[in-house]
Formats: sequence, structure tokens, C-alpha cells
Amino acid sequence: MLLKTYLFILVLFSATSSAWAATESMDFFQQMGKMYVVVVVVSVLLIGLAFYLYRLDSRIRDLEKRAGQE
Amino acid sequence: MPGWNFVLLVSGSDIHSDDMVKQIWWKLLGVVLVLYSFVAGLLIPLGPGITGVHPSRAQNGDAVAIDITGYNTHFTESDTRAWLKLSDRHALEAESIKADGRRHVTAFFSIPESFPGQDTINVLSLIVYNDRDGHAILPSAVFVRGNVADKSDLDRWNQPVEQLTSPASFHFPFRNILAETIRNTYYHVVLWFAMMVILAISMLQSVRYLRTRSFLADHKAAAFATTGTFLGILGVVTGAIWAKHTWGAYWSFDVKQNMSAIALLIYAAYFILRSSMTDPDVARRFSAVYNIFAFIMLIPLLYIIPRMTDSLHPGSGGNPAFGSEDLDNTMRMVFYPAIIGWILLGCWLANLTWRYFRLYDEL
Repeated sequence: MLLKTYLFILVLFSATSSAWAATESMDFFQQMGKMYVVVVVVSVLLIGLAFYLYRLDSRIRDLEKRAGQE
Repeated sequence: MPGWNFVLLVSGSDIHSDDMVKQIWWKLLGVVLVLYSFVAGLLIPLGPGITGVHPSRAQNGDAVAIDITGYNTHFTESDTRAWLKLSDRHALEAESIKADGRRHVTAFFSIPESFPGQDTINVLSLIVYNDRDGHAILPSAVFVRGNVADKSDLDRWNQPVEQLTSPASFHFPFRNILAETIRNTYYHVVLWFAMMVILAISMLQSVRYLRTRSFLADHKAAAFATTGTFLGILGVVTGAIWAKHTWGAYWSFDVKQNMSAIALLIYAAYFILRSSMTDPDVARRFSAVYNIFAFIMLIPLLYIIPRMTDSLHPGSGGNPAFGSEDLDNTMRMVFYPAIIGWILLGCWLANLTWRYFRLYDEL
């Protein structure tokens, strides 16, 4: 449920930012010399890292549940 | 090699190195180095560059006023000079220059009727220089049509660009097309360096498993393969984003892209192989052998095949990598610490993962 909320926020964020980028702000981004590409790449790194930790977290939680039952 | 020993220690390869796993300092070091690569890599400005000229076409004998758009330039603060360069020996200096702002300057050239050689279309590079910024170059900036057989005004091309000294300053080099995305060197290239080290550790652990049949070595091999593949996936995704804004498409079926996708598929098969066998002992042995071959396959896939054919990617097909020319000293100051930081961070992720595997087997 929480994951779905996060995904929804992520999709909303990317949709709004791309819509925003397609309008008048585009000139600004172009003038920045493609700096937005670097920002997207850094974001992907951090989102990827968070995903890895999330997976590990939920697997450890399963182990904890199993250890508690035994 | 002391560095390699350190990596083996951090990865927990050595039987006596479990203390290392518990220690926090190298994990913090990894975070600090990656943080440093974020801060320095994003904040150090780019050097001066030229992003556009108008017009970019001219006729021989024309007097042209070329509007030049600069990037991180200070045209109004220092007297600017400009050249159209044909070759090392032949160039033409602007007769006058009018600066309309920090980023805009108009250079007036009167192009001679004749060009050295017989070509009817000549491609000129534009060089701009001032004391404040140093020099900036736009290759193939202006195409000039026309050439005459009468070479009487040829000596006007004898204004070669003198030895220009750039002031000592702290910035990353400006490259056309790349522009600010040159910073992705610290967020994309670095991942592949870290991935190779992590997957090498994975392979060594597989060798250790085959020799000692230690379950821990098998757990570590699987964990480092997981982390290495994760770094590889991040590398492909960040590479695709970078490619979209420099090569024009997320995936242009470039040999480097295809081969790295195949390399990731080979590792995906490793995980499928591990989980598909019911006898755990057979699964461990098979996957250890497979892992060694998977790592050996990486070398031709990532480093040999892309160099044998044409590729858009730097470092392939006669295309220079970020080597002596592109990676200047300022970039090295961020690039090398970033590699070490991501290796340490990867080792930390892998440590957590193999400790999870060990617990899973014990419970």
C-alpha cells in the first residue's frame, strides 16, 4: 500500500516535471546547458539505491517474522 | 597490491576479516566520497565554451558579421579576439569585435576569395579568446562555399592562432554536445568501474567456494553478484538517459549498449540458474562455475567487442575514451574519489546482502 503511494507520487512528479519542461521553461533548461540531464541521472542513482534498500528491508522483515514464529 | 588487499578486506573475503565487516569507518568513507562527488561534481562550474554561431554558412569574398553565443563567458569584461581557423597554419582573425553582453559577441570577418588547396567547400573552426576566460573553440563552426584559382589574396590566411594561454582556473572542460552532462562522468562511468570490482570479488568468492566448499563464500559470491548487477542496471539506465540528450535516443542499438545489455542478461541467467535447481549443493557448485565464466565473458563484451566496431560510445571503435584528452586534472580530482566511494558503497550493500543470505540459511 505504502509502495503504491510512493509510486503514485513518483509518477505524478515525473509527469508534472516533464509537462513543465515542455512549456516555456524549456528555454531556461536549454540555457542551463543540459544540467537537467545530470539532475535526472543523480536522481536515478538515489532512487535505485533506495529500491535496493527497500527490497533488502522487506526480505529482512520476512526473516524477522519467521524467527518470531519459531 | 595494497589497494586490492584493502578491497578484499572490506568485502570480507578473508576469513579473519569479519571485524572489518563490523567496522563503520570504511562505510562512512564510502558515503563521504560519494557525497564529495555529488557536491564537487555538481558545483564546480564548466569552463568557457561556444554554444552557437549565426550565420554558420558564408560565401568566399564575403564580409560577414558572425553572432557568437558563449557559455560561461565574460565578453564584456575583457577585450575579446576571434579567429576562423582552417588548419594549424591557416587562420583568419576577426577585423573587429562588438560585445553585446556577457554571452554575446559579434565578430566581423572579411573572408578572402581564395583558399589554400582546391576544395570548394571549406570548414572553419571558431576560436574566441580573452584574458578573463582564456580560449573557447567551436569545431566546424562555419562552412564557406567557393574558392578561386587566383591565389593572390591567399596570404591573408597567414594569421595563425598564436599560442594562447588560459588563466589558471578551477573548472571542468566545456565540450560541445556534452555541455553540463560531462558531469555524468562521476555518476555513470564510475558505476561501471565499481561494477567490475564488485563482480571480480564475486568471481573470487566463487573460486573460493569451489576450493573450500564454504557456504559463506557461496553467500558472498551471490551477494556481490547481486550488487554488481544492480550497479550494472543503474549504469545502463543512466547511460540511456545520457544518450538521449547527446546521441539523440535512449537506445540507439550501439554496440556498447547492446553488449552491456547482454552482460546483464548473462548475470540474470546466473540468478535464474541458482534458484532453478532443487538440490542446494548442486545449485551452489553449478552457479559458482557459471559465475566464473560470466565474469570472464564481461571482458570481451564490455572492453573488446565495442572496440572492434564503430561505436558512438567513448573508448570504442577508435573513439577516444575519457582519456588523456578529455579527463583533465580537475575532473580527476572528482572522478577517482567517486570510484573509490562507489566501490565502498557497493561493498556495504553486498555485505548487508550476504549477511541476509547467511541468516536466511540459518533460520
